[in-house]
Amino acid sequence: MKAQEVIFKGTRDGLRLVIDADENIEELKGKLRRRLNEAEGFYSGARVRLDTRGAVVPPEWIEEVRMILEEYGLSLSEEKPGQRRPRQHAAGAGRASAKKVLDDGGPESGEPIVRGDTILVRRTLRSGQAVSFDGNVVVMGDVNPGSEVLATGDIVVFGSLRGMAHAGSAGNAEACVVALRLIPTQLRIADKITRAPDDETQVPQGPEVAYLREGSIVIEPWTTHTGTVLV
Amino acid sequence: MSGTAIVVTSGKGGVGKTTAAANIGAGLAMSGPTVALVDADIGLRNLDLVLGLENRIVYDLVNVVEGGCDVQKALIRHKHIENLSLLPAAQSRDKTAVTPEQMKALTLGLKESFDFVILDCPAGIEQGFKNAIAGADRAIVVTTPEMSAVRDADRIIGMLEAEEVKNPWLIVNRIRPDMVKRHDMMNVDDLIDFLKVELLGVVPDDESIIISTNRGIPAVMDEKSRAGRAFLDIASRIMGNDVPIAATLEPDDWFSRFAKWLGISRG
Repeated sequence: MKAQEVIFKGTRDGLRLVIDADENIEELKGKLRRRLNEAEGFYSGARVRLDTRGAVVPPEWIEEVRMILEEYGLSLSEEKPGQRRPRQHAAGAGRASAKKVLDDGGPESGEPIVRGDTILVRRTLRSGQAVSFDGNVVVMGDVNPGSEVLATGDIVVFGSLRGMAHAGSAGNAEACVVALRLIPTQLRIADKITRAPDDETQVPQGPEVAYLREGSIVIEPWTTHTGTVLV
Repeated sequence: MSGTAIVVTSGKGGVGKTTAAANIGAGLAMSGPTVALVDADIGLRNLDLVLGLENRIVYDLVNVVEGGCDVQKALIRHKHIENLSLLPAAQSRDKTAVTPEQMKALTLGLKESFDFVILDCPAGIEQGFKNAIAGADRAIVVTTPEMSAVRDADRIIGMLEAEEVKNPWLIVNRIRPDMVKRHDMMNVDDLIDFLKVELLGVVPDDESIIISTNRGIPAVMDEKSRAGRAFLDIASRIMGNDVPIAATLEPDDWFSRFAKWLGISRG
């Protein structure tokens, strides 16, 4: 896979915009705009830290990037990747801050929440909308046909997955996709692709999981150690 | 006092946006409030035809936006419905003739003098769409019970949300109750379950729409038109009235079939 020069990455410290300093600025701006257009306001309101992969970029570049981000409702964090704040260690404090974010967002807020290596998308993804994330993706809503979820880790959809999902997109064959209603148009795990059967099939009655077994994608009812979960 | 701007949109073409815009505008105006219909489909104008006002166009939306004439001068009053005015689109220009900022200013200006501003949006998701929704407070998404139209409606709802036009209403147009009953057509409940938006109304497939469109008289003015009655109900719901939605629309018992055979229409 070709390396993407402009990518949003979720990290333990929040959303990070990774850019390739070898690019020329005009091309970079074009790519950033394309990314943000694809996301259609998805990242709006988020604070982003710029990651130049260690390269030194001219300050004008950073200004240009900041202007584009602000145009799309994002803000650029002043903090440089090198000067990370010490992380909170107390488990209680961590949980409290996570709860606070949820409270501030409210159930109708579409702003994604990044915690550790997982992004929480608190809305339905409609046709044409896409989430790609270096980590796990949890969607609290439906994933409609024509929309895409890409994750290098696992994908959990607390709703109907009718669109396209690609778990383990960087090659992780251990990745899985779980959904309350798993009826995707196409499912990809690592480098394997499977599609919905052409003949009409029954809608599953409970949550299911898709994973790789001996090189092919299998779908099974979602079970826990206490047995099958019925919804 | 400022009015409400509502954009009528769909994504897919040919689902009945213009007909819906004309009939909702006419339906609202007939019940009292003042209504301005704006044809935002620059280059492919139709709304004037549906309203039977084509031969009265002197100035158009592009003239107004470019400062060539005052908006009051470009507005055409409907010949039968006193409270209804039309701002026609330019036919010899295209979507790039105006910007979203200009449309926003125009809509804001119209809201000063009208209770409702109804914007007829072009098909597609490009600049014409962005222009039409720029000044809208609310949106009505029109779809037909076909997968392709529903898919496009889903895309449009996503784009409206991204542009901060929240909580769109849905109109399901051209429902054929007999086909729904035979499970040959999607039913409205499935559609709402999929799109998860508020249903504003269901309009039956009705030949009288084609006739009224060709004659330039909105179907809401024809008491016998079933589609016209559905649009009147929709207008009433926009006004905040609680009008129940008859999902199947047509009673299909032996009595109504008998009545239909006799040529009696039940109001």
